[in-house]
Amino acid sequence: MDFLIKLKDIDRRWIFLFLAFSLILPMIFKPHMKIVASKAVQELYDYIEKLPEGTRCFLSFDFDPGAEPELGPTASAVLTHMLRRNLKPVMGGNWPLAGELAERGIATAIRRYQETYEESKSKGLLAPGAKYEVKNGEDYVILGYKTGGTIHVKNISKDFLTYYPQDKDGVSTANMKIFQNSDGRKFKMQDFGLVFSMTAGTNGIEAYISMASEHKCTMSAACTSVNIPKFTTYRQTKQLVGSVGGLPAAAEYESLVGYYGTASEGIGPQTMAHLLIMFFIVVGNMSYFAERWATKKSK
Amino acid sequence: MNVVLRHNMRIPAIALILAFIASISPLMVIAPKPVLGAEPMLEQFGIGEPPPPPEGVHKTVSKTARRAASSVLPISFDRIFEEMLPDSFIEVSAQKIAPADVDALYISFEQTPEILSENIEMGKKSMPMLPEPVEGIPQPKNLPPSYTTSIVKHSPGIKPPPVVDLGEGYVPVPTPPTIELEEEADAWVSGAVHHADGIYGGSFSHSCCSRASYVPPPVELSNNELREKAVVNNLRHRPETSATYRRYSGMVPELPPAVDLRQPEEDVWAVYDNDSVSGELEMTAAVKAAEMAVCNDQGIANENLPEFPQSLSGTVSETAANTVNEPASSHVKTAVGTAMDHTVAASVPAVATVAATSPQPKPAVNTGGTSFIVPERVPVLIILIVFCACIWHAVSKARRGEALFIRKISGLSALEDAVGRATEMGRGVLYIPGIADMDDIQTIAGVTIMGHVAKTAAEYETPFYNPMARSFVMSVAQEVVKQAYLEKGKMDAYRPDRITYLTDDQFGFVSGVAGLMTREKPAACFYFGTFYAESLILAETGNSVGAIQVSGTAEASQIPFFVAACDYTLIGEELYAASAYFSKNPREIGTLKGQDLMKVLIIFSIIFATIVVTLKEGQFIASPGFVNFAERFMHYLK
Amino acid sequence: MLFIKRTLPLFVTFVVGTLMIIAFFSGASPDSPIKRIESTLPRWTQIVMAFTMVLGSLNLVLINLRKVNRKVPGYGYSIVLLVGFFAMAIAGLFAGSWRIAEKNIKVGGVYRCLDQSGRSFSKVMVIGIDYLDLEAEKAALLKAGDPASLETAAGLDMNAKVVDRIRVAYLDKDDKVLKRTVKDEKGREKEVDYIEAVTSDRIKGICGVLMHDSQRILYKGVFANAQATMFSLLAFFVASASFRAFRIKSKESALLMLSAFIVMLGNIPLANTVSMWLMKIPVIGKFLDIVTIKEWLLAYPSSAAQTAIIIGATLGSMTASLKILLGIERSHLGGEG
Repeated sequence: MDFLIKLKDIDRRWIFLFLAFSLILPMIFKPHMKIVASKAVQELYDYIEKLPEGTRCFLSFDFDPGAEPELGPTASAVLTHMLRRNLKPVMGGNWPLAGELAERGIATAIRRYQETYEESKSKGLLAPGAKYEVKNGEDYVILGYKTGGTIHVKNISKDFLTYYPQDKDGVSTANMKIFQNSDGRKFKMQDFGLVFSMTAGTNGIEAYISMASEHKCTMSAACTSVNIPKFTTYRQTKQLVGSVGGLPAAAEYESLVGYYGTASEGIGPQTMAHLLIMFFIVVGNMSYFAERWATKKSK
Repeated sequence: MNVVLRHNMRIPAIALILAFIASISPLMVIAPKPVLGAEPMLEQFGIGEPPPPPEGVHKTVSKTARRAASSVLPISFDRIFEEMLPDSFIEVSAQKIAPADVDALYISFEQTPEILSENIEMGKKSMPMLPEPVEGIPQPKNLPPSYTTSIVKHSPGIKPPPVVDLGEGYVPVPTPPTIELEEEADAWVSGAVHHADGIYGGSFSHSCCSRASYVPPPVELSNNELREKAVVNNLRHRPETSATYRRYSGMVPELPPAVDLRQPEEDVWAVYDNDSVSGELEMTAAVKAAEMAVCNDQGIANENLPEFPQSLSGTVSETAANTVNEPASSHVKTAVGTAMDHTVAASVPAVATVAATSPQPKPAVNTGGTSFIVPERVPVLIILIVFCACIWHAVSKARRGEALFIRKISGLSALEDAVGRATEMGRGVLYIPGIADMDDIQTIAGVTIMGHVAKTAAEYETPFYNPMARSFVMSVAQEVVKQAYLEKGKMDAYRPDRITYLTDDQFGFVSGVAGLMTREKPAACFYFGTFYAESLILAETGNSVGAIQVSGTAEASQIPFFVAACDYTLIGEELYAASAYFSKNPREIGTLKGQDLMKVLIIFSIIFATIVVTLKEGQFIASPGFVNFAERFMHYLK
Repeated sequence: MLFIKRTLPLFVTFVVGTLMIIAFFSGASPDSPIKRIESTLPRWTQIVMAFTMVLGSLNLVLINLRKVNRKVPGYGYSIVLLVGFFAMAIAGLFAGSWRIAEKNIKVGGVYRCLDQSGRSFSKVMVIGIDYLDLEAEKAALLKAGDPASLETAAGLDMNAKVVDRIRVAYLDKDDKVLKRTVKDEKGREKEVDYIEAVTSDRIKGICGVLMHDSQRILYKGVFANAQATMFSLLAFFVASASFRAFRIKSKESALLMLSAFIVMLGNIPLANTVSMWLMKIPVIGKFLDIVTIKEWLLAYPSSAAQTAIIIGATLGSMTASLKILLGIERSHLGGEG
């Protein structure tokens, strides 16, 4: 009993130490866990699955390296999925490092896509028109960061190419193959089959949602774990088609796409940390009750 | 006394409930308005009784269209809840065709022949409101066999045309089912629209095409001319209907199939009055009006128009070329046609063109680039005005000297004690007004509370540390703290170097503050303002140095962290109430009361909206009037 | 004095605030004065904010210099801060591209060219400089016709020479031009000189390379990692805070803890296993799917509470804004409200 009461005042550094172990050990041993996709993730996956080949999708990288562990895996998983479905991702963003993060995301996605090309072809995961070679400017393009947040979204809703005259590397977008319509019409925001924002804070999907009446595109988003309740509301109001919330959802998306990526790797430490925290909460309560019982008894 | 008070309270409460019930009760009893004079017309077609009204079979139309429609039509457009219909119904549309003296609702269904009979049976079971194809209505011969048209109701003032030989009246164009080639389809279309008085309808959302179909009856006009109407319906390009497309409209095969109906409620219908003097059609003007209506709906400025017609020209400009200068219907001929709009296939959400009634062509809505007020922002303005009125009412009440109660906010009451404790312990006080800049209202609230804390700190001469994440806030804070020390006559104790700017970077700032905390070990830490991920790091570090901590933020995602780690937390609006709480100034307390009044209004509108939507969705009240009201209400609420 | 400190700010707040509200609702054309004000004022804010940045940096440097000068306890931290401040500022300032530096790029000179990813440099020789066709630019701007383009077109200095691209040839160690294989129209492979047209900011001299690399080391090696470390600390603090805070002191806190457990469990794959066990409980077992309960908790009770807080906070901020606008609230200007 005394031991339990003493636990109440345990030095928090012990907790830190336990937590460190619970994080490091799974990182070393990498336990594989069966991951089942939640409704929100499945909804997005199904939507992308149904998009017709060649549809252009806009991915907005609205996060910074701080949120990359949570949102980066989602980006590469969604991009891999899009490449397999022969969709054409157009990557922009409202946060300064959007271009770099997009570059990293697409590089991972292309590598993964090409590594598993034959395998996914034999499994029938590939769209009929999906080719091994993926070309910048034709199959995908990185437009990079633009300032302005909501105002920028408003602008591109009206006239996409004027506000993105060049891609990240300074190549003019006007003649890019990816922006050509088969009927010769000028490219518009409405041509996107999906607007997907990876949102870490302000100027993320909310900027697109507030301009929904202008661009009228279907939207979806990924967010950090802290923001999941907020995004649940958007999904309920059908403003978003599915959502990918935090690392667990990213791992779920990875499992749907069918590979073991950084998010799936992160699930091990995350599970252990969750269990440890739960354990500590139980211990904390036990010591609390022990103390109460002791005081009652002494009275 | 207590009983009396309670009794007194009960009366207004009951009155309020009664008023609420009374206000929504009319909505519950709205029934579809019977349309007078339908019988003669129906008799003409050999129908004894009109079929049941098409409750629930409606099509959502956009606000512009509603506005436009209601400016022209005596009643508003009906809607189709397409999702309510079984998939096998390829197309359902309901339209009111309403020239000045016509008020008719036509509903047409298109089904694949093999499932037609099955569906009628099924439809009867699942949707009693679904009208059956009425026998006796002469079916246009050239329509595909599965096409059925029902006249559901008709309005007064329509006289049957002297000769109604619909069969013979058709333009000899290739019959729809045999059309394979695009050119043929085009010919068919131009043939159809050639004799059409105008076109109703539009092309909608993603991947859809427009289709003109025959709608009886011809209308007799004052100059004894008869004219026909063609209706362009929307046929959405879904996988299951794509075959129909190609067959009937010669749709180009590479048209990308749409995934689904994107935003069906966003369809734009515009009504355009176009009945020129000699019966000449001014389609160009009509097209323009439609475009303008669409642009208006999309918020596209007029000067940006040039791009837009491209998507429309495929259909309607051609139509215009064929119809301008044609005497409208000097003889009875009815047309069936399909108008295609290839170009809208991938992108343009909505386009609409409508024909026909008033003498002067006029645009459907005021679409000019300038207007007195942005229409979409009218609801915001109304809310703002109501809000100001609430505040004004409460402030004037407070000024009259009415005592206004303000509840105890323990977090704010604890501030002084915490500073006192710090003084006793001989340690300092740390205050952070958030990490946002001065343009964030939470920062201003944080700085306001800071002034108050600074006064207490000045009084006790307690060291007052203020690390800042924004330089602009730093200069404001210096001013506020200096003023506080001045007021307490302790200028010699004022140390501007304790109000320092650290860095704009979120985590850089946190590490700076954490360092300060571990070095100086403040006995009280206050966090009021905008915080993000750093909230818990700050609060836990504060806790580890044994400080009493009070926090306040309106960032919903950070409140749990503060609640877990701090002794007191101001949740959301409490942060903004601080200034009134401290000053006890009647004007400020009045604003709080006004805010509460507004909150009551919001609560009521949430309850009201929930009831309305539940009733609408639940089909308890399926009257078009109610559905229309509910949709409008929700639209404004959104 | 009181006029400048109190009355004038209040007056400016009122006038600007009212103008912005009118502009928000006004449906006037973008060229109208009110809309111009609406688009211009935020730019003023940006400019003012930029100046306060200088103010903040000065304040930081001066305070820490003073601490070092007086040798107050812990002045070592101030030295670290000052060194970090200047190192980062200098590296950052000189690592970027300077238009002025373009003038010094000479045809025939050997430079270093930054690769696309911004990570490594290659040795190159400048073989030509392409200048912008200002006439064409101007014509394009005039054709665009919107006010901003027209303004830019009017401001173009037609005599200026603006570098568009710099043509470079990649060199090997011995300063020989590198070759690369390309396919011609008929698909035959052939070797050509490795020549590329690049933007001027990618061409750097030795000093530029040094600055660029040191900036990269400071930013990616120190700053980004330090930032990630601070962020990761959250995990540890969450553990210690929940250990302390989640005590079942009342019925409500018991409920809170139960839902916290469900959400935490629902977030990890273990939830499926637990649900499978729970399934075995007769009658109620099938309703005990942790993930479904978690999603329900997030979608309804949690989001309802969040919405209520957000509505309250928004109303509060509206009231606060109105109070500031009307001058009822003035304590942020110092002194009593």
